[in-house]
Amino acid sequence: MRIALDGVTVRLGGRTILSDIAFSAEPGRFVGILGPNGSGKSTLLRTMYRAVRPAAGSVRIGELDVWSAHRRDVARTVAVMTQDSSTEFDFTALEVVLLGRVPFQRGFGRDSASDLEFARAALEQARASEFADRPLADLSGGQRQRVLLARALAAQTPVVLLDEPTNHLDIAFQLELMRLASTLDRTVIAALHDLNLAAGYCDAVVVLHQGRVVAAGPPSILTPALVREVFGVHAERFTHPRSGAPVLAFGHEDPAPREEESRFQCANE
Amino acid sequence: MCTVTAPPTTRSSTTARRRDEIVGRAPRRPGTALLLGCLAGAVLALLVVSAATGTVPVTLGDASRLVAGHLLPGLPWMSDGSLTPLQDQAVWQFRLPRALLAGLAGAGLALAGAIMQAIVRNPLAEPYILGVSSGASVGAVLVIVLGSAAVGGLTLGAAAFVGALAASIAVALVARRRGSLSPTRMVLSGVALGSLFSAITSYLTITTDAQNVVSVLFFLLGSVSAATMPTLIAPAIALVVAGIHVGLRSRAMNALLTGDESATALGLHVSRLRGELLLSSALLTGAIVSVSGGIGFVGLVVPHVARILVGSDHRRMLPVAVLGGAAFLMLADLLARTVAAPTEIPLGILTALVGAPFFLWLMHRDSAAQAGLER
Repeated sequence: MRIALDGVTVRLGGRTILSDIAFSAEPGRFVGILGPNGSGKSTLLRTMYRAVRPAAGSVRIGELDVWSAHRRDVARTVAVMTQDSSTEFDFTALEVVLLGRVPFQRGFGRDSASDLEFARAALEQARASEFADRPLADLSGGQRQRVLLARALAAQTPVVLLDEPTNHLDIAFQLELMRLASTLDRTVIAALHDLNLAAGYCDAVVVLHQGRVVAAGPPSILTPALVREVFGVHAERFTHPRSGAPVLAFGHEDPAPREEESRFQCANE
Repeated sequence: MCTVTAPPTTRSSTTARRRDEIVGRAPRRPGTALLLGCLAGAVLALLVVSAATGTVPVTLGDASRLVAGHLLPGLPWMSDGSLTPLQDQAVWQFRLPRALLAGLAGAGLALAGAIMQAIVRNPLAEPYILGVSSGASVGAVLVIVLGSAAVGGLTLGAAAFVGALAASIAVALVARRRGSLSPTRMVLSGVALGSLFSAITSYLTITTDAQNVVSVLFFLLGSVSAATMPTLIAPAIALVVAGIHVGLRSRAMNALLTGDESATALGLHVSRLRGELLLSSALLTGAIVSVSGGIGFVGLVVPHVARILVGSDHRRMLPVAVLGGAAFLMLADLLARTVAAPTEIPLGILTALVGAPFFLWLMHRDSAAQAGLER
């Protein structure tokens, strides 16, 4: 489904977190939301699953206006891989994944065969089947991320939102997750920290800075000038020899701090 | 408005889902149905044993016949003189109401505890955490100390119920912030207001006549000895209403346990759900406290034991907690009136004496580690 944000403005506690955000994502695309800490990436995602109400603007998913539709209908359209998951209580991985089916269930009864089918398939997709019956709290950070990804996939929604999905993951599963996200036949929007991962796998990126969209388009818009403006660091840009994707190498403006260098020289003498 | 229009990259036609390995079996721990059956059996057995236990001798068989005779019309032994009026009175007017109230209170407090733990997402919460019991105590102690005329003619039970409800409402209002109820604020408000209510109770107790102090202590420690059939009505209704409500919300409660953010993403109105559940558990706790006083321990520990046995899924855990709470408190009451007979041990003391070692033993078993008690 197509996602379109128009004029989205969010104020929390008197501070403006997002101002006048407008972008759209075409059906089936994988869009990365980039930006430094505090630039509003997570908040932007939260406006799309009814966790933060914008002071102005609209969020539309297909025909659905997220903020005037029923919250259940939104939950049936958008699945989220959130960053938080409490482990005070002992749910097994499979039980957690089955919670992804809650928007489609009613009443007290058991989970239906199709709910279980979707949950098991999602666990398989996220390569989490082997620890399906273990308590979530016993799993490592990376395994837990897989389970939370599986929960989002189990909902079978046309839109999937990923909030910093590669946190706690080793490099192999980071790549695996990004490939999975880019091959899903659903619209995927992910808040990401790693510019190179975004450049390698996203169909498009949206760059936020201080609550505003400063650039949006294909990953090739990630230029050293943009990186300097938004992140305040120096970047060299290369081209990946095999995929052709842009690759950025980061550093200080001035790579060798002079003062430290002279101190080392003194020590060597 | 900047529209993202990157050319679509090559993508595989669809997801690589492997449907051949899909299993259509529910992840149900096999023991749940069996456990529920055993607990229901235990509740019935305890009811009969309680009815047959006391100073007036009544055999187990006679106790069963008396109960059946009151429930079903026209049974021969009720009119053929084989059972004395004294036996009938002992069973139907004293022992049975008492055992039933113990069962209702145990079930209700366990359910209220489980609800409260889900509301504040903390397994250490108990039904009284939001000032419910200290509010009830203020109401009850006011009636004992100043007389019922001073509180608008309310009976002790009614005053306790009003106190319990008023306390929960006060806590919810204080904890509310920008229309949302956060677990941490609820616990802190509950603890603060609870201390305030306790101070009022203590002041009233210390300044009243000596003969009132015993009544106050009797209420604070909790007891089911004053039970009559009419006193069972309010707790029974509260238990049924709360049970149905929570049954319908059990999936939502599961989602709530994973965090507010993910519960919101699953389509729940988290604050409304919390308010709803809070009301349910406050009504339930208030209805029980008003007839049985503050019986501690059940609401904290029984839900825990239920989780250790069948996991955290409320659809399995709530029925186990309700039946388990009933059986536990009925057993505790049976012991309370027999182990030191003719002296009765206050129920609240016994629940802790019996329950604490049992709970500690469970905690040391392997399954407790899986239930998260080692973290």
